[in-house]
Amino acid sequence: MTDPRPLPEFIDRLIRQLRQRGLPLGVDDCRVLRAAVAMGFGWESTQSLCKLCVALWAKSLRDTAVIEAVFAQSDIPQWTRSPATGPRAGPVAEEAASALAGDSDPDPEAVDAGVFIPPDVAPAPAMTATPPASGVTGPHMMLVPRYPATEREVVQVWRGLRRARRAGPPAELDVGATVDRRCRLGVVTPAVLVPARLNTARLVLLVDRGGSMTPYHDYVDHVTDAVRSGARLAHLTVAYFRNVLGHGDHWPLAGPPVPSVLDDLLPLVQPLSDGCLYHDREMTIPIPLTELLNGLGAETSVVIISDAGASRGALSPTRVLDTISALKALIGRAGAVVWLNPASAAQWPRTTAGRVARHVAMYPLTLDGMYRAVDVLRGRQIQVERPL
Amino acid sequence: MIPHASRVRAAGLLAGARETLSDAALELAYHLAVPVVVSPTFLHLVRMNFFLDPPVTVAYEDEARLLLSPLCREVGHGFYDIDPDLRTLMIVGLTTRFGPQRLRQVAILLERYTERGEVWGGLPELERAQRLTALSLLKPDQAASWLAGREGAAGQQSDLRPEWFVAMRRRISDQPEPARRLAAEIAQTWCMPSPRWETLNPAALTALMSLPGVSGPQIASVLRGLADDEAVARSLSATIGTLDPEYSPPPPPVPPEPKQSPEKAGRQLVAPAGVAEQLINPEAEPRGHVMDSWHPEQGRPTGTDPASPIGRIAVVGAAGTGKTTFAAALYLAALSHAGADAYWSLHRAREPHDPRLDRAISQLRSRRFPSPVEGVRPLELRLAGQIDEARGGGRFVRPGRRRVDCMVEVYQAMQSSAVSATQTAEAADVERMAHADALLYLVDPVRELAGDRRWGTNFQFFNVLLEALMVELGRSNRLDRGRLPHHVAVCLTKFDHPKVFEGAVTAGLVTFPEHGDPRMSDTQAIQYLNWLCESTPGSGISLLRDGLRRHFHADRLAYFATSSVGFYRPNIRPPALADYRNVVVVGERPHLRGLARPWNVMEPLLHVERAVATRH
Repeated sequence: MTDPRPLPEFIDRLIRQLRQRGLPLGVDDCRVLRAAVAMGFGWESTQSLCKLCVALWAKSLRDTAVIEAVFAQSDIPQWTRSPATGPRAGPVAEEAASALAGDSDPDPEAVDAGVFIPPDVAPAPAMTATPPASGVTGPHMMLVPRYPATEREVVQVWRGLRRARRAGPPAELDVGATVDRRCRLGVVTPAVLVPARLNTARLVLLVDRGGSMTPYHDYVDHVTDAVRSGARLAHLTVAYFRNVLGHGDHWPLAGPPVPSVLDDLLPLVQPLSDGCLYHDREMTIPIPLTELLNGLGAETSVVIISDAGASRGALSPTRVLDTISALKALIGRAGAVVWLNPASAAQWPRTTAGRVARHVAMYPLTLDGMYRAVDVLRGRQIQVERPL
Repeated sequence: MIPHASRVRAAGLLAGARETLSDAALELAYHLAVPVVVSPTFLHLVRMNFFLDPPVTVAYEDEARLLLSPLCREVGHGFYDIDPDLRTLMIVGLTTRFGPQRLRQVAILLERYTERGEVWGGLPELERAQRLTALSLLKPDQAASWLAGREGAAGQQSDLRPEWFVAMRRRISDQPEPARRLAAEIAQTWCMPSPRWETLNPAALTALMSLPGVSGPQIASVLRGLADDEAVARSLSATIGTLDPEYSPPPPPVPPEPKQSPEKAGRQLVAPAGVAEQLINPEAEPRGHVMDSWHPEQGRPTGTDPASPIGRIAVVGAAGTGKTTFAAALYLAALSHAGADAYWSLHRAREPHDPRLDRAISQLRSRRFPSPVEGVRPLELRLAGQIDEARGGGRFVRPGRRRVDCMVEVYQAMQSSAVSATQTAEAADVERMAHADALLYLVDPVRELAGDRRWGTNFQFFNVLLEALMVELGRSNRLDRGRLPHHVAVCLTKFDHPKVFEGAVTAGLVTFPEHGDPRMSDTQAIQYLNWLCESTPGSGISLLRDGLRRHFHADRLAYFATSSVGFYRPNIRPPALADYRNVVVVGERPHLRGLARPWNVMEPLLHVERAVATRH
């Protein structure tokens, strides 16, 4: 094969749009596509090229939907093969196909540059219980959400939360110890076995639900589901709460809630002992806070997912104090506590979130934020403005 | 037809959202008006399908910002709906911005999404409502046919309640025509006669002007079309002039020749212009006027037009006190001044417009601080109109209306003490400033509290100003019992700055009404100045206070705390004490988070205007 011809413009545009939608396409992926086209795949029509791209690049149903949507929405040239009597390929199709295939032209003898028009579906004449479908075929629509972090990426992040410890019956060969023992004794000895390494990291996810968190429900559920399904933790507890884990005493807030007043009250805030969380997302099965606190230990990491009022731009002194009270209770019992905030960091200042972030490690609920949170949970020391 | 009050409310909501949402986010918001209710997932899909590729892209964070904005209200099950009147406005916005084709595309997305099943919380009525909404946009005849058929059968099959049909029929009939344009909707809401005095706030109009797909000249064009009657055209001319800088107002009507006696006519000739007009016809509308010349020897400005301004008010202050911002803020504040007794306007005094003033207003409108003004000529505004004011006293108080007409001249900073007072006074501006009737003197307390000496101190400028005024007025023998004759409103600016505001709050000098902005009474303003003097010992502000009392008559001094940019108001709520700062520093340049909401800037102006008018 000689030097390949440059790719047609629409392929470049297609790849750029797919990358914008989160598909990590690289040079190898383009090379694979070129090779497949050179072997004669994807010539028949735009649809077949789309199917080829799906086959080569999609690794999940979401990826499939994204590729199909981009094909449908972009102004990619449309062509279709006429089986026997079709004319020669249109200029665009021919250029695309031959460019993709390099010099090994598989002779696209019958490619029609006409626009592909799917058959129109006539509505059923009978009166249905639900309004009938319009039958408009129109543009393809992407119907699969694509969040700031994919499921695979979330899983990769949380698999980093490991506290490996050998536990259970001896099952793994300790090569070093076995060789050492044989050398030392000079006779054939049985192999030295050690217990297998297990991840003993325990994680408690405390998820704020309802109110200003409602717009984030889908994404937060997506993250918690991914952690639940793929993080391989020793134990995972997901509990839900509304705004705060519980309410402390009525704090003596006299005067305006200027920062100095809140800071003066900090030493007076006692760890929260009474509160209510829920097992389910609908918040119908309660868990007493004491039960959750009793289950915490040095091996347990706690992650709080909440916007802490940042989305509405609110600063509630009472909520700050209640949250600090809850944090004191958690920090006293758990190994580490971090906060993941689905609102962007730009929204935190001058809100409850901004105040809380002075006392606990708080990161945005993005891929980078989750990596940093896991680092903290694994023991990385960070400085907060006013540790509790 | 939508009742006027709801249209005004809807437009107000859209204007409120304008303050917190970007152009792209607002364009995304328009799409949410299509379905019956919106779920976060559907919003996400709209963004994925229409706002992922340049040129218009929206970030994931904006989805939540949008759902939590005043445009949407949570209705349970994780769904949000939009006020019906606002929905109409937003659909018009959608078709204005993207054309009717986009409406169809959103309907297709809605239909496909609904077909996935169980996406609308398992609520069959909602699911069918969404399907029917999509169908009514894609195949209106088919939707009408299905609705009629099912409504007839509703008696036998009770899966859909009669109320559902009523609601859906109304929803479909309320669908706006694709040809409607957002600028026309806003213009009609602005000028539609209201039986109960619900009107669109001028500040809201300013915000609506900056919506994507809308511009001031567009609204002005519609308003011009609506003003088919000469009287209506005149009443709208101020608004149109505000919206469209290119607009030239219609000539004022020629008043009929008054039938007067020769004595009265003679008095009119010698009496000060404007006052004479008021004596003859107290209900007369103010007339447009450009001041042509001014002679210090006469003590008062004159013009070829008999309706010369009654008074001249000079706005002065040290460099960096925010005079240009104050001028722009005055203009914006006058637009939104909602006093029921006010029939006046504050407009540009020069024709053609001073580009420096236009630029300052434009910059402040677009949430930037105006750049310093070049040149020595003052920025000029004219306050003109009428104001309701009680007349008489005691038991003889009766309602009356007083003419308001004065020039507001914003002077550039004089040189600091490095230049002698004599040299300063020789500048033409000082000569003109000295003969003003009143002064709005801007004092920047932040530089005293922060110890910032880049621009010199307030007292340094004050010292120069005093010397210049004393020299000039002493030369023309116009000192009043040895003191300067001006009425002075001392404006302690930048009240929104944390160093000032939080201190004043802690000192108990600010009251917080349940609704609206913080307030500071006249008494509290004096206490505020005293507090500043105590808080900054050695800064010279106490010298400034004492100097004011020594060189001006005590009964002509008044104190005000002001803020040209005001407090940050997320959505349409009153400013929260915890999050009031409207100024953020991006890089090294300060920007506004929300729209400029001038706070207490009209009050000092109206105060000195009243004082000057009373004296005359």
